Amino acid sequence: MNTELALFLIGVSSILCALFAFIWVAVRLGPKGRGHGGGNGGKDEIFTDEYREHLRQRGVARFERTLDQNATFLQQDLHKIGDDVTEFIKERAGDILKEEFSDQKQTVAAAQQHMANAFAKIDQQVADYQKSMTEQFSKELASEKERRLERFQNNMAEIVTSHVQHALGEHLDVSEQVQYIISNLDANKQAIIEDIKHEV
Amino acid sequence: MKSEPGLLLSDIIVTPLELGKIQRELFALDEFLSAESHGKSSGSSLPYTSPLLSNLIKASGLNVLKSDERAQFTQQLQFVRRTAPVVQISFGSEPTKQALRVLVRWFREHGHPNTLIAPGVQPNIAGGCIVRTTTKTFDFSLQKLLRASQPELAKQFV
Repeated sequence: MNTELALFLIGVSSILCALFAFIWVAVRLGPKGRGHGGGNGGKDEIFTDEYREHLRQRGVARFERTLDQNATFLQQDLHKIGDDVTEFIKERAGDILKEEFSDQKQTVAAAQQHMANAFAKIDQQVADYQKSMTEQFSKELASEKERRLERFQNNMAEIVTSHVQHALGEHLDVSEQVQYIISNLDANKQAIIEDIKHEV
Repeated sequence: MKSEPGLLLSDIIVTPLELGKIQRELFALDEFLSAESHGKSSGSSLPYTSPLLSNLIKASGLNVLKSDERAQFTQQLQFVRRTAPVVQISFGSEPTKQALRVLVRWFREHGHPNTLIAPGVQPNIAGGCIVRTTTKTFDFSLQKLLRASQPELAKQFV
């Protein structure tokens, strides 16, 4: 509480001090202090028109020189900035292009890999299909062969027998087959004779 | 062997039909001779006797003009007919007598001396023969040979 009161008093006193100082300065500088347009003859003699013109020309020349220097500096700065910008653009463009190329490369590589995978998959599918078809065809072929063989076997005996009968029937004399029959009888002699004796 | 010792069929008598024919001829001859002996002659001539019967009578050594020997011969024939084993043989075509004689000789040499053959024709066997005894069948036909080689022949065709 006391601290706040103290601070308040300090602030008020500071404002009052500043106010008094302002008033004092104003009184001191009053009508006496404003002496330029008053018509004092001594001061006007020191800064003559000629001197004033000289000062003005010097100022103009200095100003122009300064302006030229500044223009030169500005131009140099502009060139330098232009070069920097160009260099920056080059570097940036190079980086961007590199990045883009890198991305494109990766994209192309991914596409190539994808295509390679797809082709490999297609090749595998074609190979599988070919293998499947080959197996199926082999199976069908074997089945057809077996079926034809079976059909032929079923009918062959009759066909050949009929053919032989018609072709040789008139020419096959039993007398010419006697030796063949006798040899067969000899080969089965035991069984035949045993059965004949069993009959008796 | 139950056959009579004195009567062996010759090779020219092969089939049961031929033996039956001989029996019929002998029966006719016996009828004729019996009638003659009892004075009941019909006036007809001596019945026909085939070479088969003549040869068999000659081979037996009996005199069939005598009644008792004729009766003995008749009994022997009946015994042969009753006891002779018959083998059925089917051929692809009609067999010749010569072929049948060769075959019956084989059976009589190795089996029963009075074996008879009953031949038959079975065209579908094409060649060879099928022998049927009492309980067994032996297929020596060309048809069987063809069927045996059927798979090999089929492979050649396919």
